Amino acid sequence: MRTIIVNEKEIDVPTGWNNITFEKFNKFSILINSQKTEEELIQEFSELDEELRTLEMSLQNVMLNTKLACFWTGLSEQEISMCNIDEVEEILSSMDFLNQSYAPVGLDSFKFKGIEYFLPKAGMVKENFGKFIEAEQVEINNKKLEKGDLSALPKQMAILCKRKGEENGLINDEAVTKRTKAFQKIDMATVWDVAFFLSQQESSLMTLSLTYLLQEATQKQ
Amino acid sequence: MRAAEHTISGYGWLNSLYDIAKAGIFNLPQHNPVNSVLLTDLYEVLTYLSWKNAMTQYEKMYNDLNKK
Repeated sequence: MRTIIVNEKEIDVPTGWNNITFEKFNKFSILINSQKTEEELIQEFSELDEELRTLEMSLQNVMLNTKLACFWTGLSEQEISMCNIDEVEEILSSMDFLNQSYAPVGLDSFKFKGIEYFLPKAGMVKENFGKFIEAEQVEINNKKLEKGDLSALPKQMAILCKRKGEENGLINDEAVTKRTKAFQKIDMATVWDVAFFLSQQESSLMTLSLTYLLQEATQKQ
Repeated sequence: MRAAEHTISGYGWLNSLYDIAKAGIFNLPQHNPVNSVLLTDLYEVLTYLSWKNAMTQYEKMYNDLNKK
């Protein structure tokens, strides 16, 4: 975290993925996805002459930056509009890590609120078929991620990551719901690391199961 | 592969789960057939699915040969 003085107020600005909770990042993601893309804006202002179009585009950009500054600082739009432009730029440039691709770290386990959670073993060896089905369902949910919907991530972690001594029993929906809620507060560095591992596992298992289902479907014809 | 993917997206895993449960070969004491399958080791179930697949293929070939 970095502390920046804005309008004589001390504001903590995140400077890395481990400074942001999943919950905060998900809200940020929803905010970004609700904005029009550059192509959409060009289309919207296509009937304007070039000078006006450039002005409109700049205005839209300022409005987006204001929204982002409000989101990360907790200040109102009015307060942000009173700020020195350099201060706003300092806030946004501190969070440049959001524009860079994250390099995941290989994990066997992670700690959250003092409790260690273990990821499944490679190939999901020693897991039961029920876990496999849940994992496949998570893979289906994963497709939402391609559209920028991250809400499936904590649930994936809740289903697949176990505490020490937890048995491979039937999936406990109540426990998964409770853990999914708790994992909203997990830091994004951990979420990316776990998600990277799980997507690798899911990808190989999904290929295996799809091959089986394809053969089965072909033979039924 | 895309067709199989579409089937899973549309129906989830219930069809496969119930098919295996109906066979009853993984039944455990004190559990119903569906939960028994869910509790069985992943690779045991995958081995069964591969065997079932191979058997269907063998029977199809056998029937085709007898028709000639």
